[in-house]
Amino acid sequence: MDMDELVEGILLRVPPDDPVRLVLASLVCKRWRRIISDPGFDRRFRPQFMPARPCAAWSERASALLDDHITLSPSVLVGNALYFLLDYDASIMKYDLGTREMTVIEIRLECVDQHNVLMTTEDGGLGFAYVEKYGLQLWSMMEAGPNGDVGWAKT
Amino acid sequence: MASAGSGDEKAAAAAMITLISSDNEKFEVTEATATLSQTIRHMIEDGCTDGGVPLPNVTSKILARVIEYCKKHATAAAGEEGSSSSFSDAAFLEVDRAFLEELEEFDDAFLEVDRATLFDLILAANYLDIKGLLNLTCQKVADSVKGKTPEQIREMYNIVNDLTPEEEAEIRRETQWAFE
Repeated sequence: MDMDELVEGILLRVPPDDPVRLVLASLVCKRWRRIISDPGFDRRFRPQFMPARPCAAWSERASALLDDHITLSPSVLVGNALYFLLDYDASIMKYDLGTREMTVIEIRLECVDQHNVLMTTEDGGLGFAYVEKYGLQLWSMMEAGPNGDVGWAKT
Repeated sequence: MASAGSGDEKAAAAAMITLISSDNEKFEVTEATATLSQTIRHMIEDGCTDGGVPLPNVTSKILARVIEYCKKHATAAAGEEGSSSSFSDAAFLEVDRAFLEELEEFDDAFLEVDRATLFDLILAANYLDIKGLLNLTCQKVADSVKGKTPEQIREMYNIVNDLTPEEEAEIRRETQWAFE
């Protein structure tokens, strides 16, 4: 082991949460300074921080009062909103990811209230599918009106 | 003694290794103690330990300390292995903790040496590739500069300041945050 390796071995054991100690050490002499300012030293000094560990962060909670259950089927992302299918009542809850607002949309289709599925349509809009007798019915949602009503077009 | 030569004794004798310091002093140690050193472990694996292992970089004074460390830590390792099969989990944890505490006390006492000895131990630990000892001794030095000014560090370790005033000013400029 040459002197550089010895000094590096020691300085690498300075706790990473005490960087001031390394700065002061770099003022001791040319050798210490050279070792500490080497890019390789920095890489070896902080291996435990690489790669950065992603950290989960959660926003404030958003909530809406519902008369209904949300089905456990996956939500659908359309535009900047998530759509959840509500049980029994054939309505949809829209959660706007930007404003964090929740609204309930009545589907208003004469459909059976089971085997309903939300989906994305070919053009990227919200689609709604259900099975009626032996046929699959596909609808795509039209723009919501000012009072929140929506229309559906059969596809 | 030699005529008695039971199989057990032969096995025990075969597990002893002779280490020879730079000043030609011989130390007999068990293989379990010697193999804490990766360097010696490889020599044993390669079958080059007959007639002793010469260690031209390590004085008898330092080798004696290194062996003391290895003996203690080899015993601790063996003790842990043995206890894991013969104790309940709770008892094992208790024994384990007692071992660790004892080992920690040993390490602390072991490090109560002057700085020259500490550096010789680092060099020996590096040469013999004894990770635990290298960690322990390097950490001791790293801890010793905690809260010390550059001037104090130089005094502690007999280092000559060869930085020019310009270089010093430059470092201080680059690392202004550390002095605020």
